Amino acid sequence: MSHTKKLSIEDLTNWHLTGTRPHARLVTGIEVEQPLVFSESGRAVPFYSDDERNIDTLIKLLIKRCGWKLEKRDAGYPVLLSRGETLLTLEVWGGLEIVGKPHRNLHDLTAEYAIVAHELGTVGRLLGITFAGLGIQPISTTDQTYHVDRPRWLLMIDHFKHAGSSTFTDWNRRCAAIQVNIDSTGKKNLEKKFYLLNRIAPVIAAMFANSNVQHGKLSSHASNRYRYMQAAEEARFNPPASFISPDFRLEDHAEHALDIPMIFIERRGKSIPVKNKTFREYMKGGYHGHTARIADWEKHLGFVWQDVRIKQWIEFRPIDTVPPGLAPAAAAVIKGLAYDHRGWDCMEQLTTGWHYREWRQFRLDVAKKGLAAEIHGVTAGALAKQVLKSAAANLARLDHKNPLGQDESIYLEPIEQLIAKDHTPASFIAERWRAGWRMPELLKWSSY
Amino acid sequence: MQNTEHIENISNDDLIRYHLSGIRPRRELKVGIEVEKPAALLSDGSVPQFRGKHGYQQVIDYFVEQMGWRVIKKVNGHPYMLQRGDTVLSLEVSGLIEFAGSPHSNLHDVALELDLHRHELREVSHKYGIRWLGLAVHPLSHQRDHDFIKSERYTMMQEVQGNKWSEWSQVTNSIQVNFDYSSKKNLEQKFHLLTRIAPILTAMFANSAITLGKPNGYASLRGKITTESDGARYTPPPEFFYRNFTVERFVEYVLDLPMVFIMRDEKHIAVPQRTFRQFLKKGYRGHGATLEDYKTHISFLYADVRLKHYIEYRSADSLPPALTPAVPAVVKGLMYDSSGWKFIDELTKYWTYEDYLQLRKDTVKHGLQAEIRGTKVLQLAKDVVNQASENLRCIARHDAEGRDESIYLDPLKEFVFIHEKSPGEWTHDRWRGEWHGSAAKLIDWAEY
Repeated sequence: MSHTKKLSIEDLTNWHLTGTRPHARLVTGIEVEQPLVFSESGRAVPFYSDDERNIDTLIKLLIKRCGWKLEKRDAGYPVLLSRGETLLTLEVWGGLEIVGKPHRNLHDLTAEYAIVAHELGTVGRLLGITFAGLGIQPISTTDQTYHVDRPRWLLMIDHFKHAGSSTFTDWNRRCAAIQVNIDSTGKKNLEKKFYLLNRIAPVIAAMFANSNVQHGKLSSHASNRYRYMQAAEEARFNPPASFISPDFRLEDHAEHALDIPMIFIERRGKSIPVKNKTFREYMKGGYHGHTARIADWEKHLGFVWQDVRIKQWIEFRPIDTVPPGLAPAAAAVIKGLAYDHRGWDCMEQLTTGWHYREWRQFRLDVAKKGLAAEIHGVTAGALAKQVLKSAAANLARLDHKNPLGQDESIYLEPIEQLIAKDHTPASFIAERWRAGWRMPELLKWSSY
Repeated sequence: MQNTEHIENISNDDLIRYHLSGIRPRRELKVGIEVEKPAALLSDGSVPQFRGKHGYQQVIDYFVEQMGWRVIKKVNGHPYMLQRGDTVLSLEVSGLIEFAGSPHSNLHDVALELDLHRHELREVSHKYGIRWLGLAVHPLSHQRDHDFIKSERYTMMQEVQGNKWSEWSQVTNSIQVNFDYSSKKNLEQKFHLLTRIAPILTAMFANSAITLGKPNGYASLRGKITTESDGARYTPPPEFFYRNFTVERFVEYVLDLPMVFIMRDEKHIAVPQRTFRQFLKKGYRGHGATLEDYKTHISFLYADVRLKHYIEYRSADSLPPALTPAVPAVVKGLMYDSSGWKFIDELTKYWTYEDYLQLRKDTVKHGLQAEIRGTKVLQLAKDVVNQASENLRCIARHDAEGRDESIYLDPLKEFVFIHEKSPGEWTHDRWRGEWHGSAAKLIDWAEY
C-alpha cells in the first residue's frame, strides 16, 4: 500500500466532517469509566492476582455468563469485548470502560447503560469487587494501581516520563470520566457546538465534580480529576484561546493538534514509536518511510485530551464519573444544550464577556471549589441552575417520549435535585464525610 | 440430532436406564430453575400480543440483535428458543418468554443468573411498553386475550389435549426447580417425599388470587386449574405418593398415558388413541419407538414432581423476583440433606393418599389456612421453612460476603412467619384493603 499523495489540512477537516448528518438522524452516546475496588477495603483491583479476585476473572465471567464476546487481545490482554453494539474496553490500569451505542433518544441510551451497569455490578459482587461511580480511585495511590503493559501505552508512558509530568500518571492511572458523544449537521453547526460547549465546560465539570476522596481522605479539591488533567500537559489538556472564540473554525482544532508531539503510529497491527515529531512535521516529511494517513491522525487525536474533542463526532469529556443513577444525566445535560438552538442561546448568554484568561482561571477554580467557583462575580452554581433549566426545557421540547409518556428531561432529575440544594456529588460526599462517612458508606452510595 | 440417538425397539430397561443416567456423585449435585411469568402493557396493564409495536417479538428481536442472545431454534421462521452462555429463553404458547437457568452447585449463582435476566428483561421490555409480573396468572385478562402461537407443535397439543390444556398453558405460570440424585435409591426417596410435601409448598408459594380484576376465591388459581385438568397427566397417582415408589413404577405409569405426537425429521406426527406401551410394542405407521419419543412423551405428564434424567418440582406459582429464589431454596434445603427427608417422612407419616388428594384441593383454595388431619398447613409450612433454613445453613455454601444459602428464604419467612399468609392470601387481603381493588398496585408489587 503506497500513499503517494500527502495529507493536507483539508483532508483532516474533511474527515471530521464525514460524521455530520441530518438533524433527524442526530444521535447521542456515552462512554463510562469507573474505578474497580475491593468491596471490603476500597483498594484498586489488579488485572491479575494469585487468587480469583481480579479483573481477568471478572472478564471471563462476563464472557461466560453474560454473552460478551472477546473481540481483540493485545499483549495477551483482552482489550475489547462486544455484545450487540455495546463495547467494553480495557483501561490502562486494567479496568473496563463501557462504550455505549449512540442512540436517537436517551431512553434507549439509559436502558443500555443500565443493563450493563447492573450486570457489571452483579458479576462484580460475585468476586467481592465494586464498580464505584467515582471520578478517582478512593484509596489506592498511583503506584498501587495495576498497569497493563500494552505496547502503545508503554510508549505513552515513556513520552510522559520525558515530558516530566507526574500528574499525567495520576490522571491516567487513577481517574475515571464519563464522555458524551454528539453529532453535528454540518461544519458551521459543528463549530458552533464546539466552541459553546468548550465555554460552558467548566460549569458542567463543576456540576458533576465527584473525585474529592482519594488516598482514603477527603481532599481539598472537588474534582481532583479535572485538576490533574489541567496540570498534566499544557497543549494536550488545555484548550487554546481559539477553542472558546465565536470565530472558532474546524481548522483551528486541526492546527492545534498538528503541533502536538506524536507518540506512535500503527502499521500491520504493530505500534511504531514516533519520537520528537509533531503531526505537522510528520505530515510534511513522513517518518522512517511511513507517510501520514487519516488513521494516524485518528490515533494522534486519541492522545489529545481536551475538554471537548472533535473526531467524526464531538466528544464532551470534562465530567467525573458519578453513581449509576446520575450518569444518564450527563448525557441529558449535553443533549439538552447542544441539540436545540435555545440551548446554544443559553450557553452564549451565560458566557458572554468571558475572556480566555478568566475562563482558564475559572477551570482551575472549578476543580477546587466546584459550584462555589466564580467568574465575573457569578458562581458556577448559579450558572448550573440556568444550564439545567434550559436543558430541561429543550429536552421537553424535543419530545422523545418513552412508553410511559415521559420525555427525556426525566434523566435530569437526579442532578437537578443535587444542584437545587447547591450540592455537587463531591460536596454531598464532603458533607457526609465530615458527619462520619468512610469507605463502606462511600462505596455503598456510589456502587453499581 | 435426533437420528443419532435413534434406537429402534427400545425396551423398558432403556427407559429406566435413561432416568438413571442422571445419577452423579454427591459433590456434583446441582439445582436449576425455570420461570414462567405473565406480562402486561405499561399503558393499561392489559396483555401484550406476540406481534406489533408492543409485542413480545420486539423484545426477542432486541435480545438477539443487541444483547448477545443466539437463536437456537426457530418456528415458522421466528426465533423460538434463544441461548446465551448456559441460559435458555423460550417462547410459550402465548408468546411469553420463559427463563431456563443453568444448573448450579449453589443458589447464589442461581439467584444471580435470574437477577441478570430480570434486569435485562425489564429494561428492554420497558422500551416497548411491556412489563413482566411475578404472578401465576395475569390479574386482568381472560384466556381469550392471550395470543396463541400457531406452531405445528402447539396446534397439535391443543387438538389432542383439549381446551383445558389450552387454558392451563396460556393462563398459568409457574416456577420449576430441577435437581439431581446420587443413586437409584436416592432418586426414589427424593421423588416420593417431594411429591408428598408438594401441596405444602404449593400453599406457601400460592400467588394467583386475583383474576379478571377481582379476587377469584382461590389462593392459587394456577393450582386450581392444574388440579382440575385431565387427571392422569396432572394428578400424581398413588404410586408416586407411597414409600414403595420406584423408577420402574414411574416408567410403568408413564407407559399407560395416551401419546400426543412423535417427531420425525423435525416434523410432528400425531399419535392418537395410543399409549406409549402400545407404541413400544407395535410401533405406529412404520415408526418404532425411540428414546427421544419417550422424552417427548414424558413432557406431556404434568404431575407436581416429574422425572427426567433429573427431578423436576413443578407445583409453585410464579412469584415476584425477590421471592423466586425461595422456591429452589426450599427444595434444596429439603432434598439435599437427609435430615430433610426424615423431616418430610415424619411430617406426612399418617397421611393417606385420599388425605393428600384432599389437601391438594384445599391448599389451592385456602393456601396456608388449609388443614390436614386437624393441623393447619401454616404450622406445617413454618416447620418446612425452618427445616430448609437449618439445612441450608449446614450445607454452608457462602457467597463473597460470607452469607449461606438460607438468605434466599428471608423474603418467604416474612410471609410465613410475619404475615402468616401466602402471597396469594396476602395480595387478596391487600386488594380488599389498602389497595382498594387497584390492579396497578398489584402490578407494581409484582413487577420484575
